[in-house]
Amino acid sequence: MNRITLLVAAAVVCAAGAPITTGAQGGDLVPLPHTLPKPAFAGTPSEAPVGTNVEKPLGRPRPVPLVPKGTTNLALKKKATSGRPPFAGSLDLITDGNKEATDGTTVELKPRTQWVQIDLGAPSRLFYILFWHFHNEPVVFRDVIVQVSNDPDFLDGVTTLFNNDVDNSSGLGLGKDREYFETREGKLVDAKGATARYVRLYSNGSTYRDPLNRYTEVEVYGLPAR
Amino acid sequence: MRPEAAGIATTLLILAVALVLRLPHLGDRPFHGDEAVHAVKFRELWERGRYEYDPNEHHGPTIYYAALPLVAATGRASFAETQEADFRLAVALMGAAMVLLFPLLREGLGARGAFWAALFLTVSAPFVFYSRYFIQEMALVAFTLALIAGGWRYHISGRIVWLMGAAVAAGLVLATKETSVLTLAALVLAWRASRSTRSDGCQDNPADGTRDVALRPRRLHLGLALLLALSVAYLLLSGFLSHPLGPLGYFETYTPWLHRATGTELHRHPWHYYLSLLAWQQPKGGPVWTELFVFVLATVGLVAAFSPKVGKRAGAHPGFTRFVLVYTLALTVAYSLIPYKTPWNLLSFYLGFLLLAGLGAGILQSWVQPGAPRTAVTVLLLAGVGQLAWQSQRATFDYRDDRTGPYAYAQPLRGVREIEQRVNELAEFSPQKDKTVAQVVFTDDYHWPLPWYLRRLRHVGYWTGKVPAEAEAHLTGTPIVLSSAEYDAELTTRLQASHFMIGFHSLRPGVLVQMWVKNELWEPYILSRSRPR
Repeated sequence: MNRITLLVAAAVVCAAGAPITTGAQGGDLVPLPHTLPKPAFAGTPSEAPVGTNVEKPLGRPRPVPLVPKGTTNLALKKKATSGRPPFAGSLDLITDGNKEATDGTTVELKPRTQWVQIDLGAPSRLFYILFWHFHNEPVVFRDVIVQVSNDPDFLDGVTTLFNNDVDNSSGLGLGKDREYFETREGKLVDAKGATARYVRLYSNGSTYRDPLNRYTEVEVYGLPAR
Repeated sequence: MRPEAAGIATTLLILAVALVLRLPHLGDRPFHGDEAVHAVKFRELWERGRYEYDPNEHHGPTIYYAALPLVAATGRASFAETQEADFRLAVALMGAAMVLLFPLLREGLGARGAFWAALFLTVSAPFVFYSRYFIQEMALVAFTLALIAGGWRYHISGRIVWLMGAAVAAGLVLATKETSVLTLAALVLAWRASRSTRSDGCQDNPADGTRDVALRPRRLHLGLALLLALSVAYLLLSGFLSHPLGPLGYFETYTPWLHRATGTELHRHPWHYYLSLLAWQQPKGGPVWTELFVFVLATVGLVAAFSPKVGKRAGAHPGFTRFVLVYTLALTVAYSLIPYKTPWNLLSFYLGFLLLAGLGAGILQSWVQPGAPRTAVTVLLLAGVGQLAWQSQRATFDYRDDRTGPYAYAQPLRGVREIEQRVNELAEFSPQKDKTVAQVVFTDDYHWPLPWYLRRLRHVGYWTGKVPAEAEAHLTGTPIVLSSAEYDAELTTRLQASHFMIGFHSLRPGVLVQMWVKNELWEPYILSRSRPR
């Protein structure tokens, strides 16, 4: 990245008022090196679905956070597993790098609370987790919980980074985070610099017309393990 | 069977149908905002035995007094225990009881006309739907019909008892709702117009030899009737003398109501709103709703007003026919011209159309020969009744709170019951029980019917127009906060640390309420209900 590009990026970040997260403090900082898929629908969702506690869409592009130089998507092409076999599609779709809202890019999991897990190969310092469940329509996924751990069974040393299960219906504890609409921007969760090898994401259906769980892509941004 | 016995049996049969259509599942539809307002107003009468007329809101007290014995009969321990159906029962009974008045109109509409008019009113969708609504409209129309019936009986019999009955009804009309001035003006106009029938050569006296005295009613009779009507109205509006000066407010009431009549608020509609609603409407995504059958028959009934021979053949009285016609047209025009429109207001003039339709049905039957032709007409009329009844059932049950329903207007949705249930469960779980504090923060005053659904809580605060300052309302310390969705961002900043935002609920179509529950209440409450994983 040359100097002009960096200056432009810094100006964009400053204009958007992007916070510099605690986990990313220190060293050279660069904008999160991510790309967004094409939008699958026009406009922003208007009314909150009844029964959800969905947050109002920002109405403008999400500010791009700064991360240490060298941060990359550690999940790309990594092995993904799930609590139960998929209902349709392959788990490889979660980390294949294709996040477009087109046919064949999404794996479908059975109804009720389900999880997918990504093995990063080694404990790594993580800054952001960015994921798309299903952004073909502005649906709201329920009980979205994001955890990291070095234990593949998530029994020890579990850190919960995001939890919007306000009524504990998934049984993993109460979460105060708000639900959100699926859009091309996906959901960006601050990993706060946690060091972990495994990333697990839970969901419990959505406001879509069927009760299935869906994942299009999960990106885990961090510094590769040395 | 003797004709009198057959008439009584027929009336009772129609009454039974009216009750069957009006009484089942009275509590299924959540309270409309106006119903909730009246229920809360009723509370003072229920708990303290006092009623105070408010010139700005609420209209008159007749439905409160009608509901009082029925609510008492339920044996509810307190107002908090009352249910929607407890209140609606009084109105439903009034709506059904109107059927009993039609035999009094036999000499006016003809026996067949009175029968069909009673049947049409029994099954007509707006009459069924608003018989299940705890607002004044059905009472106003029922008392109006009683006034017409009593006046008519006096007209043909000269017996003062009928006039006194009409006077009581007039007093009830006055005490029910301020729009009674329109009803009374239309009645006076219609009475004046019906008097002129003599000049066009019509015979005012019906064939049964009853006297026609109302063309020159005795001044003493009229004076007594006026005194009785005003006394009844005064007694009710003063809360049976609990507020002797309260009725004076009735003279002030037209200032706020005239302001509203210009329709600067939500309820401004074009002049043809009511007629379109009745004649033909198909809300987007919904079925067609129509009372055209009634309008077609009412058009036939109009003939009797202009052709006394036709009316007489059906047993109708020309003067009464013209009376109904003028009443109907005058009130239809008056309500159509007022920009402020709510659908239940149509009942007052639609009553006239139903009377004319009954007359029209009677005329059709009298036009055709007895035997097969008359049977065919009767079958056609019954088919029309069937369509009206089917439609009223769909409107009342399938579309009771659906925006594609014909008469559900700004109808609160079932989400309001979810709010009620959650709040009650939280209060029951909380050590404070019914002293658990809730605060409602809303963009405007249209937060009704929430006060009704929060009736089990003793301490509920209401804020409108803006989120109150922390020093003012101490929202961060309030166990339950309900707010307009528009305040989400502001309240998120204020309450994110202290509360859970547990979800949006639909109050009315397009109106969402969000519920915030304090951490110390929500966490133990929800964890006590969670099943172990």
